[in-house]
Amino acid sequence: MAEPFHRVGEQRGPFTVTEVTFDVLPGGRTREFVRDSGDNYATTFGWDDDREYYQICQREGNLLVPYTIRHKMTEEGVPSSASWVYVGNSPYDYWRVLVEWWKPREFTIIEHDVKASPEVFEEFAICPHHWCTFKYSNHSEENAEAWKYGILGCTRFSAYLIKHVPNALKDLDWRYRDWHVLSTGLGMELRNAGFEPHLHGIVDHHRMMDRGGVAQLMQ
Amino acid sequence: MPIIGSNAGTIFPGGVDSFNEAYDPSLGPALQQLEGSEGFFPPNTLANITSQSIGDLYATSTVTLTAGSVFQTPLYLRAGQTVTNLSYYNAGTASSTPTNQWVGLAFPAGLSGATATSKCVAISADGTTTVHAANTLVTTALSSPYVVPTSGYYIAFVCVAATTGPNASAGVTMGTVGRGAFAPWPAGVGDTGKTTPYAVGATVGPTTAASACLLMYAN
Repeated sequence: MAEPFHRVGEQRGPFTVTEVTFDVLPGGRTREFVRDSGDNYATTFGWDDDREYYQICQREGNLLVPYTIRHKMTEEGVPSSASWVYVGNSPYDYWRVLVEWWKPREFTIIEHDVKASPEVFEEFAICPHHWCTFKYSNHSEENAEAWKYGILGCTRFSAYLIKHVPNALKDLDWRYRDWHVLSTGLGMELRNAGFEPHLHGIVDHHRMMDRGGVAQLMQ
Repeated sequence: MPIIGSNAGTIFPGGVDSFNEAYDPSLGPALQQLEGSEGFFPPNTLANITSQSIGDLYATSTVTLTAGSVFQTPLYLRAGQTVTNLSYYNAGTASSTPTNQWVGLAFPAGLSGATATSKCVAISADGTTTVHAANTLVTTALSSPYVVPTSGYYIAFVCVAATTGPNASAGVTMGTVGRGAFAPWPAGVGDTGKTTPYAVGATVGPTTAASACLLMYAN
């Protein structure tokens, strides 16, 4: 069942949400109005769409590459054993794939606009931490800090962490099942469970810029 | 672009009116017809619009807000008018992993080929990591309401730094032939590679090529 994305008192960028109204319109449409402490506001029209879980893949291995476009640079950065899973049929398929992969064995995600390297996997393999990430190459220190809890592009989760929060993805809030905000929602769940991300180095976030950028390619 | 509307009965022609489609006996049928024929059909979720870049009926396309690029659109403002907010539509693509986002005004309209250098006269705060969903009317408050000192064309601009998107409602892209082959280009990208907002008084680079004109509102 559709629910508003914003909640009064939560952060909205650097501001705090002060007002939210939410309506379900005829035909399954939704309308949400939000205002924040900076007096910025937005009206969003959406749908009470299908965000329930159903299986769309089977977990194979411990290296996941969720993709909508197979980019050469991403292919070059992962071993041939990587499991490439298409997530472009629905904005919620990335979440469905992660629900399937969220089994108590460690795994690493390399997103389709990231070029990893052998050193990335070597560091992950020996790291004792439970939630490991690499900073995006296009992020400043300030931006990396802002997205500290919301990066999935080059991330490893340990078996211990998954065992500790086995339903972190299955029971994820309806509002966070869209891929645009999936990393934010999962990050909040893990943080609430007492985990903190362990930042390694910098990974090449190529963003498919040689082909006009992810935004252009995904239109 | 004329600034006419239902408040004209009390303040016209001495002040700035708002667009709201209501019949206005003081304006008379001729000007009321003009408002309609220019395609102004503002959203009912945004009150007291006093200027807009293009008619709603002509915003039939979208343009991707490439990361860090300042998208400029001309906006006619009248002396005495107060601009509190600037709005644009996120179209079918939401932003992903935004790090910076802001709007503002520049004057004079130092469009490419013009002799005067355009300076930032009003700017919003940086909305940083706020993710705006698809199909959202995004309204951003200027840091201080801007009281227009001189009538004329101003530049309203939007800049979003994100991994993907968003795309925004706009007119059809002008292209590089016909009018699009001649400077000044009334709408397009000026500065690129931006993250932090301009300071008031800073130079705003001119457009360098023709592009689509964003549908933007001032209220």
